[in-house]
Amino acid sequence: MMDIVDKIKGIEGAKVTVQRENRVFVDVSEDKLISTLYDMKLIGFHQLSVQNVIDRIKDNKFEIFYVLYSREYKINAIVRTWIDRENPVIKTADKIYPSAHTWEREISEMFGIKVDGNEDSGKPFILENWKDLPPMRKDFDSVKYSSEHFVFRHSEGENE
Amino acid sequence: MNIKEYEKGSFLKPLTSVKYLFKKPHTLRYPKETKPVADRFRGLHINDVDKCIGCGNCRDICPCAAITMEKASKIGRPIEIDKKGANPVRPKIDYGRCSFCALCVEMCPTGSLKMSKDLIYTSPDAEAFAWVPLEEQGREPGFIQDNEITPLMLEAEEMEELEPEVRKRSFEEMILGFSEEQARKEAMRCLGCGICMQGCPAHMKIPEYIQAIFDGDNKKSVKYMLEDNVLPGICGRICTHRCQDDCVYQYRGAPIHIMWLKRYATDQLEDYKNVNIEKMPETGKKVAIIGGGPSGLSAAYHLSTMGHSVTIFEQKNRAGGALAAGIPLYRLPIYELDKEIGNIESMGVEIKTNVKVGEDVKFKDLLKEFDAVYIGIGLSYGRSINLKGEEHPDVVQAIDFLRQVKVEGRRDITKHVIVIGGGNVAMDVARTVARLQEINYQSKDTTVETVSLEDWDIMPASQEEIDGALEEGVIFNPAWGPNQVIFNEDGSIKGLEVKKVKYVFDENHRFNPAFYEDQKKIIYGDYIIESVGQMYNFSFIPKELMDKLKFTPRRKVWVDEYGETSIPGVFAGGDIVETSKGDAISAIANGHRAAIGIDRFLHGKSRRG
Repeated sequence: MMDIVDKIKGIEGAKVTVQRENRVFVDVSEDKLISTLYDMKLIGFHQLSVQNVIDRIKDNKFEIFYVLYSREYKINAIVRTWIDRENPVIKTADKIYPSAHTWEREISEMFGIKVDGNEDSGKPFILENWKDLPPMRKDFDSVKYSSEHFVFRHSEGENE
Repeated sequence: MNIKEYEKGSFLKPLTSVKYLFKKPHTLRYPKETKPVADRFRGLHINDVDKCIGCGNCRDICPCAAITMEKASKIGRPIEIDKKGANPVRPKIDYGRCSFCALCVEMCPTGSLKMSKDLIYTSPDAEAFAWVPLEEQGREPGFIQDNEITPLMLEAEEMEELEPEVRKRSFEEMILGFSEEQARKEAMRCLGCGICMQGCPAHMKIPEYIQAIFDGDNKKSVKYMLEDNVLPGICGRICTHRCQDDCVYQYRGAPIHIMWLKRYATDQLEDYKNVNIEKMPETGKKVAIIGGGPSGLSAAYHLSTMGHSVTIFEQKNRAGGALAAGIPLYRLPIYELDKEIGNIESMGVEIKTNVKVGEDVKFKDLLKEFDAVYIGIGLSYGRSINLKGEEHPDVVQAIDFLRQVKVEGRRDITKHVIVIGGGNVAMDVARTVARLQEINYQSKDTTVETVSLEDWDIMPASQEEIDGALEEGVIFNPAWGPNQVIFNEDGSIKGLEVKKVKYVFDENHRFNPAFYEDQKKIIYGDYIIESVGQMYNFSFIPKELMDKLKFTPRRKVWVDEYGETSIPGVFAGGDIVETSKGDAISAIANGHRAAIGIDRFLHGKSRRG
């Protein structure tokens, strides 16, 4: 366990925290993201399990994270970076991890994040004719959207 | 595959498919077979409508506004609608909107709402996709809430109180109150459903004032309290907190300490000058209030905000009624009384103490001089039980004893005291005696014993009072009834003879105790305090008016929905009317209601003109 952590620590610009056994957080700055992912693959993290986003609305940031897995060491490494909420753009990782291609399509639809280098990222994925704010953003008002788009079926007990 | 290869094959080739007859098929024969789903699958809802209380928390949390509350009569089966602490409504879910996030299930305070493993429903009618989920729709449970992993904070904040050994040594207030951090944390738990408001006799705006405490705005919080309860700080200490009995947290965890949150908010304000209800312009009408107890104070406050001039006639030297005289100092300190009664005086209410109506002032004169009269005399006289030997000077009434200790500063007590009664007043007496014995004798060779007809399970005192008394060394004798006082040869009291109780309530649930006459024992003691209830005294009302005053079958004063008695212009409230539950908060509620009635009467809108 520790020798792989040392290897990850050798990556330039990576801040490594061992959260618990077999789970390591690798925090990098936005510009080092792709090179870190490349280095991680070289170290032995061959699998991208999940790529997703957390909307840190209070900090005005999006947290982008890649959950990587190494079969050799049986370790999950989570590579994280933070980007601005205004005009969010990331670079594609699909040349390193091909499965990122689909994850990035979902991210761009659910959070409105542009992915440079992924030509499919702007295309509709699962939402049909979505014209509102991307639905997974925390400032998206789901109740308001529901009341604008769906019929409200009133019940008689409401005012009791 | 190309055609040539196919031609090469034997003519028997098609028969090779016969082998698949004996293999397990890869397809499911729907709808006879369905695909197995995960254990915590989130499908269509199931709701146990008998367990559900219609609190509406599922509706409020729903991120898609898919849940509405349906009337009990429309849910498709009969349910018990007048359940305590419940609304007669049940959730109806619109599956055109539902996103199956299961937040409603996580939030459900009773645990009645679940999700099933079933997600298939078809209908050509769009309206058919909204229904009230029921258990008898026969769906298999999937996602069920878990008390281990839950967004709710099920545990209440611990309240610090003095240790029994410490608190026994003095009459210092034993509950220490919340810190700001604790209060905010406790207030954060509130879901805002408002089920508690039904339990409160005064229907205080509990969710609103708890929200204000959470926001850190104690002034706003007290403002909400004063709208329905003029003595919030006192109620924050001594209330019977029926609201907490209804709190939805009781089903999965501990109810919110609503009472102590109220105390926290009022304690943060030195006075209520800026938070009082705004006064209306003067009307020039005069109202007399007989009795300065909680109901009289409540009526006086609200009447003065309505612009009437109010005078309270109090026979004791201090307003407050049972709060001032009855409730021991360790539960309600004097400064809290002064603060809240002072606030009512600051609204322009005149309090005349040491004035006994009937002697110093005639009741008939009050009727002439004032435009309306409110009677809030309460039950200020102890009730005796016709015990053989109770004429002895060492057999006293609880209400007199408590007043002597609290108001007159009595500190002497004998070594062995017997308290008759099992209610909250008896607990107050017993715990007061325990303190006096500790002060006088350091509890060496002293006893304080209570005797009550009721056994542990039906004892009228609240559980926290009983626990507190037990911690302080009070000995209980439940299910024993007093028979007679036994005397020594020199005439002093030797003890109390008691007999075993067979039952307290008869088959009609009426109070009708019966005893085993052959099972008797003697409890030794030299001082007996009777605490079996109180009664009113209407001797100040002249006979011809007394004949007009209507009483209910339970010997309480009859009043209409605005608190008016059968004598026009005379209103009543507090413990002497039927709607009172015998606690301060229902007296405060009565007083408020009567204030509204008096205002209507003074504006010529009385029912009887």
